Amino acid sequence: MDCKVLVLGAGGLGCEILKNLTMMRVKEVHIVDMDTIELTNLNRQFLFRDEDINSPKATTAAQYINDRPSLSSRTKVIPYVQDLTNFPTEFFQQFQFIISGLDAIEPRRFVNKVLLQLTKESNYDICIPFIDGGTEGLKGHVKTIIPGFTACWECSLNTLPTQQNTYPMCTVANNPRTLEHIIEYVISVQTSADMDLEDEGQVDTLFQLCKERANQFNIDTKKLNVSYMLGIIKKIVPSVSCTNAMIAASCCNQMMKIYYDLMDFEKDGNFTMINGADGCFTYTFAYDRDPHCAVCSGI
Amino acid sequence: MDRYDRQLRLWGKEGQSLLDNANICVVGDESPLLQEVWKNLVLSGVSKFTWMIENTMESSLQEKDLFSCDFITEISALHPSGIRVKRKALASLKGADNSFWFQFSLIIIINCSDSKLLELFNNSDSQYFPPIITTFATGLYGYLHTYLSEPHFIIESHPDNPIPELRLDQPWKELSIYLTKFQVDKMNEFEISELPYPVLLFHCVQMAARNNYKLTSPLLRNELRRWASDTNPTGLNDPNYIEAYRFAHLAFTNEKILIRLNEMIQYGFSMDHLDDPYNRKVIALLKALGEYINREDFPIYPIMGTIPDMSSSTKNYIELKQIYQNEGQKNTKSLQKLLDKEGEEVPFEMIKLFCANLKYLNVIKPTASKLTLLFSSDDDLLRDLLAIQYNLNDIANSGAINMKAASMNSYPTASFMGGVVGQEAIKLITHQYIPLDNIFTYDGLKNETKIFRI
Repeated sequence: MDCKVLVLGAGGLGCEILKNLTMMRVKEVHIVDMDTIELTNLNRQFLFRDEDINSPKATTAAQYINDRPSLSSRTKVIPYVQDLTNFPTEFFQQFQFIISGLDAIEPRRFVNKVLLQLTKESNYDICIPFIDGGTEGLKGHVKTIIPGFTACWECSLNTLPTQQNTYPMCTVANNPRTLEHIIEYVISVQTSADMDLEDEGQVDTLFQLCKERANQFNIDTKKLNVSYMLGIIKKIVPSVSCTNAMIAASCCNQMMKIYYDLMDFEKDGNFTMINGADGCFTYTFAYDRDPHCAVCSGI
Repeated sequence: MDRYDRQLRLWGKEGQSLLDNANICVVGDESPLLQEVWKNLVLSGVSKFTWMIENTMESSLQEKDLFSCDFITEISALHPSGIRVKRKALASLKGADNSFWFQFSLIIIINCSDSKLLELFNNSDSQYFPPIITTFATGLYGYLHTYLSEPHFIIESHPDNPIPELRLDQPWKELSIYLTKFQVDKMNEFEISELPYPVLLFHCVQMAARNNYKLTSPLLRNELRRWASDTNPTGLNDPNYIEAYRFAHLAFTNEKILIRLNEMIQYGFSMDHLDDPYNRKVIALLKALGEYINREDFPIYPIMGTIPDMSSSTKNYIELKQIYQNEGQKNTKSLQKLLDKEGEEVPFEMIKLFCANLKYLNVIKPTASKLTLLFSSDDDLLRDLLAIQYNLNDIANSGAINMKAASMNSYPTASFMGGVVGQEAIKLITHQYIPLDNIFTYDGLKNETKIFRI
């Protein structure tokens, strides 16, 4: 496909998206990610190997394609290891599609805003489709945003899953009942904010503090181990290759349909949700534009 | 942290160990779909495969549609200890007996083009087969079919919204002693605010019982509000009162669950001679459960033994939680005793899981006795896909397929279907989460999927 695509994120979705774009013979793909590879990525980020741990994701993913002649002959991949909100507006202008596999909210809001501005300022000369995928465990979503035509990312901000429970401080401090309450207290009261969660020694100190406090309040510690504790502190979201594959594939099929003019922006759904926990439920619908949207209402 | 940390959070060590030990039979030649399915399985931890192919020679073919020329080697690197693949000629499948099929956790037939092959799996003389997934993808379309020769039971279905069970309408002795010892009427507003909400609900349940009238959840809510307004009006904004009002319906045992469990038990009794060892254990558990439920004058099933977090002082909450936990353990042990008679060895951990998830117990019933019944489906999209897959001229194109979209080369569609197949394989192997039952079609043009049963 004779086009240039920007992929946001080289994680679970990013690896899948990059692979799909290569198989679709997209001429050039740029990929941005500022993270490095960790052991727990390897159950789904299949462009990385054990020896790549600690290397930047974007360059390692790009190298996977660029090093293999059968793949590099199809697609040229250019990596960026940096915060994408530092790119100037002109950077985004060179792409025909932007596909996101990010989990953070702010960078996606940023890109959405930039793309809508571009469409507005160019008086619809520039209109770059923004396809956004996200997963959590066996669930996922795909949003297809055609700036100025369909609902933008901001319009559907309220569909984001609610942030993890926050507990009232009086419960955490005075009436802890669960391990979550214990861990929350240890992390917010008993330790300093610049804890290094990659440091084994510091993690162990945290763990001991949690155990002590749980025992002090007679809270069952059967479930308490380091991975459970870190899950709560880092708000870790479960992730598995199958769901990433489904969501990334849906993103890429959306792109393909736009490219080959198989999509009706007015009529077709722009929002798909998938849940594989019970059967395999999917729901596609047209998410309406918010007439009062802070980003796209003027366009 | 563990390499599999992000998925252990979905199915735990038990699920992972079933995946680690799984042995999967893959039937089909190299294709994007086969490669995608395989990739997902290896990433999830599966390492033992038997590959049934037309030609067992190592392929040196540079397939232009594959992500990597030598995908088995590339995919093998995705498993910390590599994968083992036994290649076998497709022709050797004929005449394979039970013992051959028994070694597999699952059979996956990918992009098959020979309908004769499917006839091998027609279950005419009730031969045992592990679950069989058949799948096919073309253009922007694909389907998956799960074929079961035995029921598939799910103990851990992981519902999105688990519903706690308080049994305040049928309290056991320890619970009722604990809940009444508070003497709520003599407490001041501060003490009341430290009570877990079941104490408040039980107080109202008992007041109603003394007045001899039968409660329902709306009546209990009224009762609760009247009591609080009369005796503790400042407490109306306390979190525990708000929870009591909101969760009043949880005070009552849900009769539908008993009905559902009885249906499951009946179903268990109707099954004899099952080959799958997991199934035999579940059947034994169901039979023991049948006896458990009907041994008392009023039917009651083992309690889950857990309560969710609720507003309360630490001490009160921990005590209440302990009472539920003790009863859960006691009930589990009683069930274990009844199970002894069934003559089936069931690990205690499984009995515990069974009791803790009783309300969410689920079963996917076996499919029609012939895999080839697929061809008698009247679903337009499926029929059109089968016509393309098996080159059947007698099935006319119904128009469910857009020919341009069907002839397009869409690698993402293979990847999507590979994701669904991987997910279903994991669910079937781990006996966790509920598999789809039993046909799934994907229409990438409309971004629509459908599930129906044949």
